[in-house]
Amino acid sequence: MTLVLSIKTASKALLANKTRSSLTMLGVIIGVAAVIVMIAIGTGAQQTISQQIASIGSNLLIIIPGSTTSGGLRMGFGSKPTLTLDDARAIEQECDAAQYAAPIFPGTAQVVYGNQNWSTLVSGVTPDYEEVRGWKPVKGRFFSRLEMDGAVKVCLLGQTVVKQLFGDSEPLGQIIRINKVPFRVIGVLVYKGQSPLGQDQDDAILVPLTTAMKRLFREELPGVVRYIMVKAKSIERMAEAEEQIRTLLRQRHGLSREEQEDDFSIRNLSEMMAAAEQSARVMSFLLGAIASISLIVGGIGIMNIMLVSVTERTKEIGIRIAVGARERDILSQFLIEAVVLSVSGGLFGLLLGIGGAYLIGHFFGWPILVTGPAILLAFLFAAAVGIFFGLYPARRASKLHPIEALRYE
Amino acid sequence: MPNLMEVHGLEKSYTRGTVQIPALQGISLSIAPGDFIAILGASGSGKSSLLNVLGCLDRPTKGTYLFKGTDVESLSNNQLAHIRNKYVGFIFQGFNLLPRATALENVELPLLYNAGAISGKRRQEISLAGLKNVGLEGREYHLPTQLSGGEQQRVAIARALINEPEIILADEPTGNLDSKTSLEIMEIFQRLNREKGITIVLVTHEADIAAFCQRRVYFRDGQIMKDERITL
Repeated sequence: MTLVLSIKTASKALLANKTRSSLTMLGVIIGVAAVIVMIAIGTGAQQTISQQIASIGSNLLIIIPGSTTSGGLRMGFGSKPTLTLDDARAIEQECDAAQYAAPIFPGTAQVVYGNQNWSTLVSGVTPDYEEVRGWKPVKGRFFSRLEMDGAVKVCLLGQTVVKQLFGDSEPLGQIIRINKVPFRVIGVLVYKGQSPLGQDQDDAILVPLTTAMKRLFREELPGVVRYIMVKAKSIERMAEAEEQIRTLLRQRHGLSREEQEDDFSIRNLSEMMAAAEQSARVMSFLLGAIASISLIVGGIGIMNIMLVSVTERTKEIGIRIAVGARERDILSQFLIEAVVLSVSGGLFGLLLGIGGAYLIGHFFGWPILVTGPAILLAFLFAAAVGIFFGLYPARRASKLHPIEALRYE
Repeated sequence: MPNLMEVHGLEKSYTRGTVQIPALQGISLSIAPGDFIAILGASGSGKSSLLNVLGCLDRPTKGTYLFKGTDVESLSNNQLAHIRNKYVGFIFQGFNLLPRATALENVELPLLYNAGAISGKRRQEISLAGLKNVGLEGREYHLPTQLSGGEQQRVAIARALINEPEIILADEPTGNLDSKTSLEIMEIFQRLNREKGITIVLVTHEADIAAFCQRRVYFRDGQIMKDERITL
């Protein structure tokens, strides 16, 4: 028998028992839909994390100062002001695995515009910061090296600050007061969204580093910065960059003896984020695996109903054998019936799953991502379930003894 | 002319639970092309068992069966299926039509299992001609339940003939029919035997049905009691 004819025959047999066939299919439909929805949720979460990682900036190392010890009390990282502007400059010049080194001097400040005021994070940065964080102005421009060297009072605003201070009016060219010091707004930064830790990255103002040090936050020790962000030339060279920076800084800070501890700490952000991404991937896999169980249960439903069907149609099988059907004709007839059940169930399940995923995304506000490979995977899995669970009943049918099958009432 | 079917010392027994029931106990019989044979005997005398072995639906427990000179013992299940499909047409007492298929689809059924693929259009043509040949024009799209017993048996005959077999094996073909319809069916068999030279082996226990046959084989307890030829 040709395949097309077999599929026609199978569909006809299944249509003869509509209620039974659709209930059997329901098992597969729910299974496939569950797989699609679960993978969509997992992939969505994974994508969100990837986007957050990208929003921090790629290939980033963060250098923070070391700890101080006073009277046996160790104060933790960042408490000792050991990093300087010169350190940043030296890293950029001497470490060839590092592309940029951006020193950062942040502080919290009250900002005022007209009758609005808002407390936000004001960071003093260098023009390289734009590249390091991949954070471009959506309107206006970034400040120049000249403006930084001259400690000019200009600033760029994050989207949240714009919303809080300006509402719908135009911020470019306006003067705002940061800790009572007037600054001209020269740019609005592109939307960044939440950081992987859930902070609002757009609730920020960027000013030239020198301006921040001299005019905003009085620092007792001139030239000292809070931390330095380093962008490595590539992801492969991050470890190399880390090692070069460590050697350079130890040398610059006079830590020549082996037993002397580093007075700074280098954090590899990409590594931390990669771990987060990995755990999202594991979650996505687990969700898919749990959903697959329901698909397998659906497959058992197919096997059950096919066994019933073989018993009921024993006489039909006998007749077919009597007119010349071979074992493999009977086998393929029942196998194709099982596969038609699972594949058409799979198709309905796909539609239900895709629809369900979007509904969940819509009503719960979860990030949902239905991908082509996930659809293909669920569909092929359904077909495989049909073949696997259809094989035993089909074999049983093909092994029936002709005489006994014909005598069956 | 060589024999079409030949059995020697044929034995067949069935296992019911732990008991062995002998159905055939040493049957030897030769059937020549063009024979029209009635196998007579009480129920349980082994007539149907012989027919099943002759039709390659069952294998003998002991003894040899030569089909067109080939020992059936040496053939695979697929080869037996081919014999059933191409050389033998079965007709049963209970008609054995597929209940959900139309008369036309029932007649078509053996064509689906032919070795070479036949187009759907060609299958339909052959089947329509087959139904016409047994006088069922206009009944092609009826389900078996919508047909009378005689009509159902005609569909079964058309199905048996569709691959132009050399042999028709009929197991009490008139057992479920009234006497008038029985005669009509027997006339069809007679015509097939006379006009087309098809060999017919017919199991029955009715003498007036056996009266159509030139050769009568009497069975009792799995053995042949009498084998007579009558010149009609």
